[in-house]
Amino acid sequence: MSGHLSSVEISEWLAGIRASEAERHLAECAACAAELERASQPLARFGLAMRAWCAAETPVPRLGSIVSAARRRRQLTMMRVALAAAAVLVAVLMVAAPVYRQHQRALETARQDEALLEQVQTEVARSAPEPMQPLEKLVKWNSPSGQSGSSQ
Amino acid sequence: METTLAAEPVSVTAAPVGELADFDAVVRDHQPAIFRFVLVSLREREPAENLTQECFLRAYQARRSFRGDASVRTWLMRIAVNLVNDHRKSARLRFWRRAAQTSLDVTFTGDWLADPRSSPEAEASAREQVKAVWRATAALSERQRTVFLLRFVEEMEIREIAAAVGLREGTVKAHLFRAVDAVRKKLRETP
Repeated sequence: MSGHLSSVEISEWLAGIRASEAERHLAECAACAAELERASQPLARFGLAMRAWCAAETPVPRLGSIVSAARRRRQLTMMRVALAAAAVLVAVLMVAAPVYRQHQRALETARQDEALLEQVQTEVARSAPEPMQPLEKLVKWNSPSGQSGSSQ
Repeated sequence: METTLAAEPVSVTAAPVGELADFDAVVRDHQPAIFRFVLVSLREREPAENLTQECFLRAYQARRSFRGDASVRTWLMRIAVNLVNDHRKSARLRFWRRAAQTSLDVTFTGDWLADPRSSPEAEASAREQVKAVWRATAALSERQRTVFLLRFVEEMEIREIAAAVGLREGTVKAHLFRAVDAVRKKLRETP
């Protein structure tokens, strides 16, 4: 090293960036060692002052409250999850109920349609209208081929 | 130029996971340091108390996930650093407005240097230096201030700081160098 430590090199040293060349120089140069000491003093004093001041300010540890707060938070989380699940269930029911009712109505309509169709088919299958049924018997009886004439 | 790691005053020992079993002891042992870091970072007592409580609450909830890779102090400090960062992000404007007003008055911090062995002149000079550093740290970037406080108030090693803030050691040193250099420049400007 050609000369004394620069201000930047002293800042580097204080920041933990310690070059072996600077280390050798500090071991040999009393002026630089004294300068480093002067530079580090305000930082050390600051730390000391902060620790002393904060020690007086530090609140009493609330040990029980941490555990109880953690429990409260867990219960709150579980409650939120339960509420969210309930809300999802209600939403699903709100959507599903009308769909289900609509489906039931469609089934009922289909059943009614089926019954009506069956009824119509029964009516159509008759060879003569209901009031003429007694006559149909007579026609069948007198028919030479034995077939009902009205349906032909 | 060969560069080596600085010899640090405190050694890092990985805490046994079982250390967290007695959580009351963890709170008793580490609350002062966590509160101090948060208070000096935020400069507001009430949020500092709340965040300290929140820090231990989160640690308690996550205690089973602690594997002992770092010391309990580093683990707690990491939680605290994240909480302070989140707090600053959520109330950045409010923070800087209050920081500018120095809600914790700098004259107050200087009162804690009373040393009966010092001459009144030396004591006054020391008090002025502390005030100047206090003011200078307010002007640092958030990351610079965090590493500066962890190094010079908490006296943490570079590798502990790196673990606490989630940065590489080289990056921590770079931030620390900028912080130290800025503080020293402010000190030189102080009459």
